[in-house]
Amino acid sequence: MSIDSIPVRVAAIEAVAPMIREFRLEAIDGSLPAFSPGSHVQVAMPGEQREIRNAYSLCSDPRETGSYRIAVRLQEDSRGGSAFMHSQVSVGDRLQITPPANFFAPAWHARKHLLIAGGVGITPFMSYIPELERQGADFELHYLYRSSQTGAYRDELMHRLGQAFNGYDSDAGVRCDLSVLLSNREPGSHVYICGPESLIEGVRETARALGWPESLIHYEAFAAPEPGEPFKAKLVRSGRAVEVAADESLLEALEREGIEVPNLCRGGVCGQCVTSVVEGSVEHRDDFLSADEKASGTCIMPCVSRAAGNHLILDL
Amino acid sequence: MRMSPKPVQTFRDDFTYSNSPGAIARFPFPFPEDEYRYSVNIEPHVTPGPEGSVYEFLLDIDEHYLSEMAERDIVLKENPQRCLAMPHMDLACWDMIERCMQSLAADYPQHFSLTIDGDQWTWHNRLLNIHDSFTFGDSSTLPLPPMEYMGRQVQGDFALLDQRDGDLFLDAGIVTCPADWSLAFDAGMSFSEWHGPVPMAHEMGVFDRALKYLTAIPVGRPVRRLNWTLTVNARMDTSPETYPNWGTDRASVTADNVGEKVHLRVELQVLDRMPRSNALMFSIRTYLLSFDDLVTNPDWARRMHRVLKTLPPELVEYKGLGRYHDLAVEWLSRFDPAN
Amino acid sequence: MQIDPSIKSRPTYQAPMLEEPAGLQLFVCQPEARGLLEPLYQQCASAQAQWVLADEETGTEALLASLQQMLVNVPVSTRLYVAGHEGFLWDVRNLALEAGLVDEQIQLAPPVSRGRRLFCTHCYTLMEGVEASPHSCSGCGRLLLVRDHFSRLHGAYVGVQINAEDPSELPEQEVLQ
Repeated sequence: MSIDSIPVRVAAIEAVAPMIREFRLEAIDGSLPAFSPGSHVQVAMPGEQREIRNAYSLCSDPRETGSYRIAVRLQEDSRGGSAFMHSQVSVGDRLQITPPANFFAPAWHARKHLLIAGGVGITPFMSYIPELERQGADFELHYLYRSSQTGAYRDELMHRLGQAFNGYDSDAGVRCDLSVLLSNREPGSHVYICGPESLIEGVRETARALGWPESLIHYEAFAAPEPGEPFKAKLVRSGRAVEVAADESLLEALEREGIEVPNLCRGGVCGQCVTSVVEGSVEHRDDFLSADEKASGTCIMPCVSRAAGNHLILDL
Repeated sequence: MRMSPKPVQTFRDDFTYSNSPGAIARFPFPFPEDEYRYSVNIEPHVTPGPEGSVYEFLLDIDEHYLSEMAERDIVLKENPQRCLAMPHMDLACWDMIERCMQSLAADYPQHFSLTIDGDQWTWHNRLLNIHDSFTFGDSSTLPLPPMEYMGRQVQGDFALLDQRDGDLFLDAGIVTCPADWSLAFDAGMSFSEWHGPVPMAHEMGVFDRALKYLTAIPVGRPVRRLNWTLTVNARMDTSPETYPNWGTDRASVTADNVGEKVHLRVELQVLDRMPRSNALMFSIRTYLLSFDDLVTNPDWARRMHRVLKTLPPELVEYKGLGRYHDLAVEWLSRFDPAN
Repeated sequence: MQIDPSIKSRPTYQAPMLEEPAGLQLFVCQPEARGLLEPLYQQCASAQAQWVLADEETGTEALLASLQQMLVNVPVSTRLYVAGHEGFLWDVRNLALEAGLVDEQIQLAPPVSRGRRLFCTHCYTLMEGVEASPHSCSGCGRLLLVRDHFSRLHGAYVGVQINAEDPSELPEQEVLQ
């Protein structure tokens, strides 16, 4: 990992839902950096074929810097990360994490915060809630889950938040009517969504249909890179060639070959890994580059984007 | 060479401010090449930097500490609106307190100490005889609002930029030694708005690129850049507010007094992500060096001449050098016979 | 000194366009600007459209006070269309922002006059309807160069003493663009 990675020790592991495990990570020396609500860290996992790095939201109180908590849902189609965390990691193990970074911070000037969580998407809100409480902010949590799989922390949250807690267990047939949730809201209400793409899209569409201004809707846009066709990346400066497999990202393939590219979000948001393209067309999948930059074909975000053909030539 | 604070000197009236040989040696001379050009000249502010340099620590405390704090007190007493913090910036102000106190106590243990017991903090600033205990995060337990409390103990101007909707907003700050910008007027502005008056750079796309870079700065990886202008007399407070007091200085430069009157004014600007609020802390640490002191270094003298000689007219105008630019170039030319 | 040719903080204005859907369409204007919003109001479904007008006698301050009360109970999907003098446009916008609205839901029509609100950077006095530069400050009496640098928070352009470097200079007034 990069120079400023932080070694941590797994201090506790707890099943917080049938498919979700919580890991408490302690600093090996000193304390951990303070962080803002909505922050995430990358966790490096030594997988069988290659190192895997996944970003996980911190789900503890930002005031608690003795340890961090993350919660990991076992993905059925895991690319290795969640399966590794669930089956290979034990209490006492050492892991490497990055310092926290944040692309999902609260809008501090909001009049009201509507937090909408789907399944393991509750995690960033576990760091929001203590800070919003400290500031005496007005907020509601709407928590959609399936009790046979997810629903972590719901009892604790129900007791803690009282009226501000709204749970929807689809396994018990309780649905969330988004248009009811989003209707009759006062100005200055900001909505935050963390969950599956379908939930994010559902909230955005409903809000748009109800006339909500876009800038009141916040969501965690980044997700694990989607697979694609394999391709070859040629590197002009080092004269090397890297094969990118269907189930790995270009960034991961470069790292596997020992080529470090600066990066933070690994999800096409932060812009740190932008790399110049010398030749070849790009399938852009990021939220960072402008439409003009994408059309120019001169750069790529290797964390999520891939070759549109069978090769790319990069200025690396 | 590390600098120890010396007794108070003035940045107004009789201008007793002076630089010791050690302070001249560590002056951050800002020109990497002979011709001045615009660039997004941002680089990582990796600390500790070279020992004794202005880059050694996050916050540079030098021989002018007491003088600058005395000057800040005069400015704030005259006009309390030189410091402001919008209500939603409270957490960011505490971020700034934490970052400043922890760095000062770690980097200058002879001057500052901090004791943390849960939320109970005790801060000791031996240079200013400040000894306070307070509850972290509770502004009512401080003797002053948090921005002013911290700002009165660190050299340089500070702004806290709220990050939202992919932009940065100037929502808090303490600005008593600016190079001609007003916090009271620019408060609440977005990144491109408060750079509105800067000529040429917008068209070059400098601010669009810089904004993308700045909004992605992670915690613990501050960046810095140098900015510069010229100031007549060793005046820290060259604000628009007080321009009627210092405007005539510009007309006071003559061929005989360039060396003592004209000062190179360099800002060491540092941008640092605040961990708890996700705001950016923007510190603007100002260094002043008279041309007489500057030309004690022949390389600087030569380069200063070339930079001023090739400075585009738009920038001569923007930096307010019109009345004495030619005099300064002429005076410097004797140190650069080849040009 | 020249007046800056293009300063990025200076706002540009476009004729408002109807935005839908909206829970409430508010048309806020000074009397002399009503014509700018009338066609838009006519296009609206009447149930959602509402005028917020200045009373001839009580004037703009009363309008702002009643708007402030009104905004406490409007839907999040409210749209505001504002017309009048430039300073008024930004007063309405800032009041709406305080109530929690965001810029996306507020459209400001091109100002009905070229009179500017001016912020004296020396004594912080605000002056209305300034049409020429330099302008004598009503607070401190200094002769102010009216610049194009604009603050949305103050709804004003900045004024800086034009002859601070040589007070004997008395430049001629020029009409502002």
